[in-house]
Amino acid sequence: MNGQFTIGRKTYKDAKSVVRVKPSLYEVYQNERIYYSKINIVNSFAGMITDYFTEGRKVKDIIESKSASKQDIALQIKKNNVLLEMYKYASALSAKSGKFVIAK
Amino acid sequence: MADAGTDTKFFESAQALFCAMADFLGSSKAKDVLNYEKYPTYQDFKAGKYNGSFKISKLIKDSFAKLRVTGVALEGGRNSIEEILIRDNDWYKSSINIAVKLIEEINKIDKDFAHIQARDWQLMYFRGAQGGNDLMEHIEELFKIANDNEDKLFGDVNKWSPADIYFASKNAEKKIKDSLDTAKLSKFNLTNLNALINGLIDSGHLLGVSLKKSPDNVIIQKMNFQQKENEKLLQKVKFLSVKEDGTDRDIQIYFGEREAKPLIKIRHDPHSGSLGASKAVKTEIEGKSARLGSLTSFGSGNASRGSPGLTDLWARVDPVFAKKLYASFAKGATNYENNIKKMNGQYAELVGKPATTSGAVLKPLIKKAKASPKKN
Repeated sequence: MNGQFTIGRKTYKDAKSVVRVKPSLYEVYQNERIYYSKINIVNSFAGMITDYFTEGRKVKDIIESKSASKQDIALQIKKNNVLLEMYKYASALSAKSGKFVIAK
Repeated sequence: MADAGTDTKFFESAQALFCAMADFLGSSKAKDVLNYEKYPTYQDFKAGKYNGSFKISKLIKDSFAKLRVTGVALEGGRNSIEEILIRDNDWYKSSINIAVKLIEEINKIDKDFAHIQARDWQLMYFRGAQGGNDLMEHIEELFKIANDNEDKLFGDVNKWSPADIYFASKNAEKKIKDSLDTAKLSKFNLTNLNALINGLIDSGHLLGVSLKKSPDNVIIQKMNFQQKENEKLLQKVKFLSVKEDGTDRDIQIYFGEREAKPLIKIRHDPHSGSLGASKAVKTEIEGKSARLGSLTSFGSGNASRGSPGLTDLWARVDPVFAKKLYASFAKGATNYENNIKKMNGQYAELVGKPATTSGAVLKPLIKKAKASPKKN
């Protein structure tokens, strides 16, 4: 068994309980696919992204902060700007996006 | 513009229908007639009367005639506007909330829209669909020409404008159709497209609306109308924290005041109908009350590339890291592909087939088979 095992919404964490529920071959197959998704794809980016955003000290307010170093402030600005690029593009707020209204 | 979800075209058309009703009634009457406290369900509403003796069922039918919603019927069981309004009362309430709020506040969007608040129909209501040959299709064609002429700055039309429905006057319809002819003959670009659309909005002839389900209350928010308003929204985007969710295989980046929405979610979707190795990594931006947009590609860590994905946008700020991130992903994706191939071969042998059996053939065989103790 590779990591945890899921059938529908239920999760099993040890091999014994998995054997007890007698999963179908297709359920076993699906779980193996999920395992490879996690170790090959998700692990290829998740750790790097987490490290990127956790580097340096968290700066709550880059203008007002008196205790943060210049390095921490620069890192915080860079992190904010990465998120801004994603936010602007995905929510149609780029410089060349068109006018529209949201009803929400 | 509209996505391909099964119910999407029906609830977006339902919203357009109620907007057309509000347009006919005018702002002073809309709140009184489009009222789910008086008519708690769509059936109650349809059976009702207004102004003493006018049947709401006739108002519905007449308003439907003001819609251009390709492939959507008003009634007739499944696959109709009425079916979704009856099946999901929240869509009925949401349609009322949005229509009433829009007619009340439309003069705040631009004072030239004030004419819509008068009684009687002023506009037509469009929801895009392929093969529609109408205003929304023409706007989408104009976008395609302009975007192609700017090296595909946007990956799809939703990144330029996510409007799900458009209100338009006859004048706007004609102007856009005529512009399509000239755009094909010129180097029509996004600046030209925005000038055309903005001009029609500023003169009260056209409005694109992005719809979110709003059964409780509604906010109408103008987007890209004033740089100042956009800046206010963008200034709130500040990194707060990042979390990896082992169970869901998500990574969540919070950028609000606490660890709740708004957030950015990055997730691999391993689903493949034919048991292939899908490398799709989706980045979703979730606002406090609704989904704001998404990126469907991981990109290739190249800032100058058109149709940007996650690492392409990252490269605009930090090109060195974006390249490293992409390289790591590419390596992982190759390993994933190899492992899925190897695994499919093993499962094919388990069900008595050659290891080279295609995923499409293999899938029903695995589904039928019982689990092998060997795989546990």
